[in-house]
Amino acid sequence: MSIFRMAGLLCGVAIGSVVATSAFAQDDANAITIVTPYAFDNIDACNSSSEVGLVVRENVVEALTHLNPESGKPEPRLATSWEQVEPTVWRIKLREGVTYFDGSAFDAEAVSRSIERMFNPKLDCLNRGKLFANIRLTPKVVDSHTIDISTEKPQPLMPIFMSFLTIESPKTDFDAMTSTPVGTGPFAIPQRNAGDAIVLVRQDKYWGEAPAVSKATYVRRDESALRAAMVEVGEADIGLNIAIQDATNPETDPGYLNGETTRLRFSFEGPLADIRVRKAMNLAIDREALRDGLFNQDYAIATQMFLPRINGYNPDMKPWPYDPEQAKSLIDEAKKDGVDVGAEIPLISRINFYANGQETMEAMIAMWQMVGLNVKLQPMERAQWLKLVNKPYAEPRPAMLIQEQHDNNSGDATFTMHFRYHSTGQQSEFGDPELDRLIDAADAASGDERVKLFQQANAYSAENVVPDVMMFHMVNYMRISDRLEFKPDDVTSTMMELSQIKFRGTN
Amino acid sequence: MRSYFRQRTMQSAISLFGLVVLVFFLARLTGNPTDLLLPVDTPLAVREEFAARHGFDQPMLVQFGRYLLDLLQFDFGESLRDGRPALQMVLQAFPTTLLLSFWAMLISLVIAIVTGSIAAWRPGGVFDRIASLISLAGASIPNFWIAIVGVLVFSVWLRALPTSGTGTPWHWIMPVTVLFVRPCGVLTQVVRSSMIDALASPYVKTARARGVRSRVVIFGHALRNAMLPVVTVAGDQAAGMVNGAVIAETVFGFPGIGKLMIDSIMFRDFAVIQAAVMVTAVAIFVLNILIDLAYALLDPRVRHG
Repeated sequence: MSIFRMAGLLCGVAIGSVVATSAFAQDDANAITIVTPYAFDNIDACNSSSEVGLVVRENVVEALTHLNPESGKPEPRLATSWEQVEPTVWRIKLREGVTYFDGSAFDAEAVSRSIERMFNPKLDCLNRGKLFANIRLTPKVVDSHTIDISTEKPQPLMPIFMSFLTIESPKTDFDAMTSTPVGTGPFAIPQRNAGDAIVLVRQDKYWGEAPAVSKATYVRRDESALRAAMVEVGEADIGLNIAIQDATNPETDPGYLNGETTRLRFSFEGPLADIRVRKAMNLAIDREALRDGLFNQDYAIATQMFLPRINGYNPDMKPWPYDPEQAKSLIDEAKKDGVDVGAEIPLISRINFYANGQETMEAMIAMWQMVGLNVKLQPMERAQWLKLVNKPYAEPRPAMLIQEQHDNNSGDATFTMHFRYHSTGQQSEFGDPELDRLIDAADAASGDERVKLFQQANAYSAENVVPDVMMFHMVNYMRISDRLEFKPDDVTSTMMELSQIKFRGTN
Repeated sequence: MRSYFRQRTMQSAISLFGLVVLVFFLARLTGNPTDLLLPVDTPLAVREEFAARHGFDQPMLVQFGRYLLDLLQFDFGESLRDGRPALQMVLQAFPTTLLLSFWAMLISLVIAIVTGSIAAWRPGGVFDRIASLISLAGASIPNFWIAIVGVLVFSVWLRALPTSGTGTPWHWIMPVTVLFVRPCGVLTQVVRSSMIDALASPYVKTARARGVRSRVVIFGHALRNAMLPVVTVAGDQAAGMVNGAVIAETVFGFPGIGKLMIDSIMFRDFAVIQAAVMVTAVAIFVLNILIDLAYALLDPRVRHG
């Protein structure tokens, strides 16, 4: 083969290399690119994952209600009003004059079909598993824009649940997940092959106010440093999940609460069965030092497992003080009563759970050593760690601490309280009749009474049960191009509405 | 030649079957996808429903039997993450990795052969010392470090290359560089030492004594004989390209098989893991045949034996 033929062949392969892949170019001034670490493998709107929340929810497929990010209260979206006409029936009035991107009309039939589709056992809809595992919604069309949704038991949280009821086009495949969801939102996904980047295009016939962004392209890059670099050099406009060490410029890299709260859960075994030891372990931790040394001031010291905007948050609860002397005296007391306070207590951590997680665990272990406790770190992979987290627990259950992180973005405390602190909860380690009573009563109540009861349950748990070592409300960082005006809030990590993004100097 | 291919195919089929068994059981030992795909706080009943729908509740041998039956029909199953056929996902990603690896190996070989040969001409000379230092560094520096520093220098500081992604020839420069540095370093060392031996051989001394020109001695006589170990190591490096591709594809957002494998392993997407391993194994089988052919081409003793 001559050198020229060889060169020609190599050029052909080079051109083939380029043609084999494609890129999305920004072709107008209001097009933006968002770079994320997410794969967007499954963006069917019946999932409540972060990936769906970032791209699909409210941008492409709208829900019946929308939770106000500050108050956590439901507001109208595709539903204009709702009322509880019977204890187990909610009547919902739907917005008129709304159409889907594919031309279908939005009406009560579409709502009914979306609800039934979510409960279709052939589909892996995360919403069904996460929110409606024990609640079967039964839709009944009243007229073209009125629908009744009934449940077996009274369901005071229905308006909150409605914020997760995303209503897809009636043309959506009923028996298969879709990678191109079609909704009534301000954006549409005109076409996409599974695995490709996602391009959202503004929908001109949207029923609400037109957003400033005309097109949004979501691309995936795994490295935080790379996502930050892409925004810095102008290849992207927003970089999500920027690691704390890469968020170097407070002007362009704002931090915001991501809805996650961290804690260490006690198994109520061995020395941890004694409340004095559990209290001592809380008193021995200098949370401010941990925050300032390993995180930063954006992180909030947590007193309970959810954020203040969630119904049931108790604003009167105070963080544990750092008091190693009191911790030592509690341990001495327990020791005198025969508690084996010198026993080794494993701390089960999860590898790569959150930034600086491992360092935090090591610092806490050092603090416990200073008050005479013997805690040993046992890092585990997610799969291994999961075996210890959910009931049914393997017997015998050892004394241990388990590193956990929990997000409650639903607007109500029940999703946390029942699961973690009720004796029947899937991740509960104990049974306290008074706490069970408070949680049960709160679950059955509504309005202010519900909030008050959950607040009481929270305070009771922290004072009389001490089920965990509360840590921090966690923070995400994003890098934002200076051509955009956008302020992330504590809902952004689970739902990012493109309509909130503006361009500097154009409004 | 036909009996050689038949023999190699039989050997490879046995190896592939062993690999199927190994990957099937080892992948399942690392964790249950039910736990990994569903949120941590998913109720038990929903977990059980999910496991039953995907057959994870069945005894391992039943799952394996079903998998083998499907495999006989070239059905690798569907991805748990997005429902696409696993083989389709792998074959879609494979050409990108193949092209990345092709360019990386080609550049590695060209640089290694030229540099190693010149370095071997005067061992201990200035060129040899510089080449050895650079090749040792290339063989030792971790890929991910080169990738991140490359982005910082060429994209952020100099603004000369795109940070990542695909679309233009410029997008290929950094991923190919990350991929070729290590094999290039290793191969330069091998070419150098192999050429030093070859240049000290009696037939080279004879050629020199007969007044044959240096260029012909190096590239016409010595290099051909020095190539056998180089081909062996190059084959080994080419087979290991998937490892480097994982880094290059992950950092630069290239949709190749390395990245697909990592994602699938993270989510215990067994069907895709198995399909990716099988396709990679077949590719390595083909590569080994090509290496054997190269041996035969370079050494008449292999051909006639």
